[in-house]
Amino acid sequence: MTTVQPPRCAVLHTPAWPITAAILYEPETFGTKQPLAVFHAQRVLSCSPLAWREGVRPGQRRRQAQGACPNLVIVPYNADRDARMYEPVVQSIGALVPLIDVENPGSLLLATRGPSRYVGGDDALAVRLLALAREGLSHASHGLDVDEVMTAGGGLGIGIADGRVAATLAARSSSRRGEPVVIQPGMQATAEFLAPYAVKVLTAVAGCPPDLVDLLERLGLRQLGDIARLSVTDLVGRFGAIGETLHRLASGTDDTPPSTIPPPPDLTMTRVFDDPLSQLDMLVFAAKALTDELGGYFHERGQVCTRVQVEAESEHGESSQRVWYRAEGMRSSTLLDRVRWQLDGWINGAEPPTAGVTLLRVTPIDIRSDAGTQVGFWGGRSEADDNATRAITRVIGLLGPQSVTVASWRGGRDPREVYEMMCYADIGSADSGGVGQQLVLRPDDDAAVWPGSLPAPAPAVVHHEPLLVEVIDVHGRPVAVNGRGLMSATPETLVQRGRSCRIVAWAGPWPVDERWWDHRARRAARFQLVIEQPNGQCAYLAEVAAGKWWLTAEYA
Amino acid sequence: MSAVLLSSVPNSLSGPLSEMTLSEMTLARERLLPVHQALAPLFGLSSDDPAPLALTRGHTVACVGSAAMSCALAVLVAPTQSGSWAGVVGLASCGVQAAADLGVALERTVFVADPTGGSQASGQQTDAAAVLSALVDGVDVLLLAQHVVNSLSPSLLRRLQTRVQSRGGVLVVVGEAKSLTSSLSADVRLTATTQQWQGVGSGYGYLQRRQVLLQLDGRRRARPTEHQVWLPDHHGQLSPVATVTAENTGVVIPLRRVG
Repeated sequence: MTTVQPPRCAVLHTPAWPITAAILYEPETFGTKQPLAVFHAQRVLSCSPLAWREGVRPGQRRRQAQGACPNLVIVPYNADRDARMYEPVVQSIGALVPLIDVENPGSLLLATRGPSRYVGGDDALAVRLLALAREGLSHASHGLDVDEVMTAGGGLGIGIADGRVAATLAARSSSRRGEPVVIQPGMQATAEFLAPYAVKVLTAVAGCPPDLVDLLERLGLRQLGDIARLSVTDLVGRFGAIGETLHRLASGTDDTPPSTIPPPPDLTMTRVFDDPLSQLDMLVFAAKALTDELGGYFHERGQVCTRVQVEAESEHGESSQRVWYRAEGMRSSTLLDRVRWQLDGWINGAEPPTAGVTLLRVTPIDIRSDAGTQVGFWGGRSEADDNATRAITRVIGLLGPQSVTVASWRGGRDPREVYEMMCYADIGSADSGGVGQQLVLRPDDDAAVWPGSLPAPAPAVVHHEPLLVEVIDVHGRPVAVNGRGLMSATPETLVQRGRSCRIVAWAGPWPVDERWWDHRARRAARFQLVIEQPNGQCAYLAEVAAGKWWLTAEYA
Repeated sequence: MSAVLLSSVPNSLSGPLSEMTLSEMTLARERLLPVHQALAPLFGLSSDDPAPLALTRGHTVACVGSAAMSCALAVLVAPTQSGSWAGVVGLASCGVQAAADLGVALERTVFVADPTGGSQASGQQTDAAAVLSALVDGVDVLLLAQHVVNSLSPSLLRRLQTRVQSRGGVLVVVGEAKSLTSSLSADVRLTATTQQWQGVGSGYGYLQRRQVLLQLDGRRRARPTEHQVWLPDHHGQLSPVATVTAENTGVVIPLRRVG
């Protein structure tokens, strides 16, 4: 077996970065003395050490977490915020090391060969990196105590070792110990450091599939040392090609280089408009030339851009800046989409620029070689999905991003509220690195039924603007419902746009008293009415609010 | 093999002929989309098959009657579950929860705002044509509201149907029988008539299930077929009404001597 010397790496790791980011972003809302947890898709994504001490664990459901720690403060998930708040740290370290591989917000990797010689050894480098990270954090924390913020986010770990896996594990153990962990160079030392770790860490550190880890455990290979002791031939014989990777990971000879290539500095594409442009179409047209040029450049070199910064500036100096990330890489059309979404959001958003746009700049940040994307054969992405995505993008281009929506479950007691319509353009797909909102297709199986929601079946037509009707009793008097939910008379006839129909069956009233604590308070009584019409029965969901009857949905 | 055949064809014919040969070289199964199991008897198929293939690609299905909306959503169920995408155009009032309960795969369903903007302006028309043709290219089932169809000019509507035929999609139009534009020639007409709502009395109970009579009529069909279904049943789904026939009421299992 040829011995390969993996590059020596340093990893800076913050275990609960979303927590730190939230404290830095909204110091008034989230204090460092509170137990905090970030939830994503109803499960704990990360939690602060205080919450951990109370028994909150990543992966728990919201109810379990709140059961363990009743005063748990819930931090909304926001990938953009995490990335934005990590930027100062990256920039601060960037002053010492030019090439940094940000794996995700909260964890970055760098090759130590140059910087280590420059500052005088690995130990000195670790101390220096810690100081730089603290400096970056103190820029972001407006007057907050950096130590306190760091402790609330689970500390800051620095690990230096041969290879990515060993360095990441060293950084994780460093964040628990509170001091940098430096593993001596050499295969022997690395292998000794890795040996006692459970194979489970490979899932988090090297992205091994969980079922493979499960299989290894069942085979009795519980520690990385167990795998390293086996011969490569046996591992390849049992597991196939991945056996060799496993052996390299476990024995610390994994030499996969950091995946990014530094972008050439002249790739920043800038367009300055002598006549300020205020119309979106014209801007997008100008941007198209820019993105086509950039896309063509990457295409020629067999590369794709995975992270890009888009900047626009108006004549009055207002600017819009945003970094876009797409794990599959961006070509000219997908790049243009991002530019258009950003410009559209800026120009038609809450704080539009007061003058025309004079400058547009697109800067590629991350570039990798184009490995292509494999279209799934069984499951995964199919050709139909790609065709549909293409068509939807075209429709968004024609009608605007607001016009194409998808339904996402939110819950509620009114049929109008149960599903929320989200813009297709805002949805982050599962493989886009978690950027964007996530679609919830249906409630969890064990989710509690909303108190006061109507039992199935649900109405097939929902009137977002309810129709005003009249419901009268035998004597022609309007039927009223009093504050205690009692009816004045039996409903007999429904009068809709001057046409009256006999009510053959009805049920209710079911009172709703929602949000009585704020200005969106709503009090109503709901009914189901079945009326007789010449072409058959019609069933409606009706609501009485402030003495008026409204049809809110139809069981069509 | 087809390349060899085509190379022997004279040059002047090869263009259109090659397209024809290739477009007709699809398997019969691939020209069909599945329908919900409970709808199979309407199409003259057995309801034992979990996803009977009955919906011909390229057809236009008009869903009319008092239960038209539920019926149209029921048509979407099987195709979306089997991997096709569906586009719902101009139906802001579509009950998403009802669709989800019926079994429509919401991860492959997009809701598009009315491209006609409810007006007849010529600029809007071209916009609507571009939007609808883009959607036809990308999705297998396109559900259109009646007002969208009615606001398209007859020639535009015909072009849309031709495009659906060439792309192998299915156009589903939901509306009322009498107010649907006469320029729409539907291949299949599904009439859903509410027979009876069950579960609600005068002042008690709640709506539980509805018996619907589905009638299927269309071109190239000898006579209309009828089928009774629960749409929705008490889980919000589509299920067949168990017919009480003479055979299964009058059956007496004879006792045998044992031991």
